[in-house]
Amino acid sequence: MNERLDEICFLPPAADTPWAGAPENDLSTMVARADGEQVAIDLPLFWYDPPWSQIGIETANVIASAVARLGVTVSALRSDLSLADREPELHQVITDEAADDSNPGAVFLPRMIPYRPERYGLNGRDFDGARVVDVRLAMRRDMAGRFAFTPDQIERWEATDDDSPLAGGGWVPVASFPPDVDGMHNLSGKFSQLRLLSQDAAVFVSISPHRLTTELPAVLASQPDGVVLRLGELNLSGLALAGFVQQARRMMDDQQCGHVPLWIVPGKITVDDAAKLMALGATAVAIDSWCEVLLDDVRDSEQNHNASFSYSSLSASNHQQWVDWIECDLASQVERFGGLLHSMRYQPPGQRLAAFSQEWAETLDLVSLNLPFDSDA
Amino acid sequence: MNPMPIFDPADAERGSKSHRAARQFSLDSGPQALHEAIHQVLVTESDEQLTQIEVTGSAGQHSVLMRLDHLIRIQMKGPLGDYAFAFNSQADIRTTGEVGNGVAEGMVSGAVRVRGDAGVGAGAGLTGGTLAIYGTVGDRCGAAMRGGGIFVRGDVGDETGVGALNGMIVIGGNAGHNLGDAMSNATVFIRGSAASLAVGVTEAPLRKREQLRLGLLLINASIRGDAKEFRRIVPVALLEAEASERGELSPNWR
Repeated sequence: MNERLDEICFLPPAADTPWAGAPENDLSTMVARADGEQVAIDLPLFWYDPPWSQIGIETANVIASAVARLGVTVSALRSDLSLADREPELHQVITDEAADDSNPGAVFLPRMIPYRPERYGLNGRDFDGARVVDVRLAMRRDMAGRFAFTPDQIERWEATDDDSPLAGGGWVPVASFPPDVDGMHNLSGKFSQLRLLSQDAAVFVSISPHRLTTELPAVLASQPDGVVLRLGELNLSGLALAGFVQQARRMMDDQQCGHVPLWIVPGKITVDDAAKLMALGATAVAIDSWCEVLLDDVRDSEQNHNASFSYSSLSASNHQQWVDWIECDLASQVERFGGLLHSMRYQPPGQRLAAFSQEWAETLDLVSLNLPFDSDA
Repeated sequence: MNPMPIFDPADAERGSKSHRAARQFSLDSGPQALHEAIHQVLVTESDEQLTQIEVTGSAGQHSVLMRLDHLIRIQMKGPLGDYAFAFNSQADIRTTGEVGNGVAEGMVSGAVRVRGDAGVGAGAGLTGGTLAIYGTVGDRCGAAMRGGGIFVRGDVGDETGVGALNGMIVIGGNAGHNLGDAMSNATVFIRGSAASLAVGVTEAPLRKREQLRLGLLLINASIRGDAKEFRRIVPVALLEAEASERGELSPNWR
């Protein structure tokens, strides 16, 4: 995968910087809810929109929890990962080594709930133990370009008998805005309701970037606990991607929302790109593209297996191979991301990046390296 | 502020057996404390003789009594704000006074009966149970419902049943524009007229078995009227599938 932000580099401290030890290495953050409660986020990485319906439900269950065990916040409903009578691993209470008699609270893997306007597949129990409730605004397209849910998604969320599929087994139109909210000016009431339903979660709102200058101020006025910006919905150049992140952050700062997290869904990016987006103003970055290679492998294996064994489940060894990939390959990417973030802390914000080209430097207000030769050389 | 009632399990048991006056709880206690207190009330095993409580203090508060999962009958009086009774199971709630937007959002089972008007998105995402509103309802009633039944004695607004995958909506009065928009396996019964039907849905005759079913449902929801007075609104594809008598739907409706 090519670096989209390869015109930017990390700027190390100057040569004459005194040795003053290493900065804090803790990557966890606290998100303040509007009601004053604090929500801990383990890592500034999240898996925003895993295509759970495209892989087997048992495999989805195993993969979701394995990724979450790295500290990545994973988006999933119960119905994405298991049938009604079973508890997905991602939703189970985990043993907390830090828990003791004075802090006996149940601890869950980091998870976010996609709270779509339609709420298909959503169950009240989804709210238990979630870290983030993601109120998704604005329509999203399926693979065919429609504003629609695929038959696979509907079948996963609302399982019916094979001979009576919902919508006749066809696609189902999506909504843009929650049908029980009477306009953007009443969105804050929905957020308050969700804070009550999910008492340990921060309530975020996600929007597309198409009308950023009007929609971002409008949602911020509703006091969400965080904003998710789905930049992956536009086929942006690296410079535009970086510019959008900077612009969104500045708009939030200008609206006295500098404390509000800005989570970015960037589309395809490398680990270095993700770290650079953090330096440009993102609070967390989606890793959907890092997991694509895994999902491609899962889909291929499941198709081959189904062709040979008539839709029986894949074995535990198949699942283990994917868990191994997550614990080795994906974990190494997460490790490098953490390392880059740590290294950036040696520099004050605003001095962590430099641009190779004058265009990028001017657009993003970065230091220009002014190299005496082409950086590609 | 009313003091939080002290729970006495023996007292609750005696109350349920002797039909004495319902125990009182107050919304002033705060949503979490009230939720916990209601769940501590011992209930009878009988569906026909539910343990009753009364919740006082309704004054337009939002997000009241959400995620109850308790077989109990609750009486309330006074207006309520948005998202009352969201994601409830089992509870049988009767309230007098208007309610705001999103009443009974995502309800799983049980019943909510509202003697008053409701705002937009009543019963949005309902998956089961019964929502009965003895008044008028705003736009997008029954939006994206996946099961259960909604009964409205009066009129409903625009886009009623939008995106409903399953379930039934009974309208005693008139409907606004785009009735049944993007509806899948859901059915609407309407006594009055609709300003317009959405593309892809049509009016269909009420079959004998539906007359019987609707009649029972009307009685259950305490809505006066003869099932014959209602007309059925269904997706065209669903009607075609019925006509084919195959008991299955043609793939890819759209």
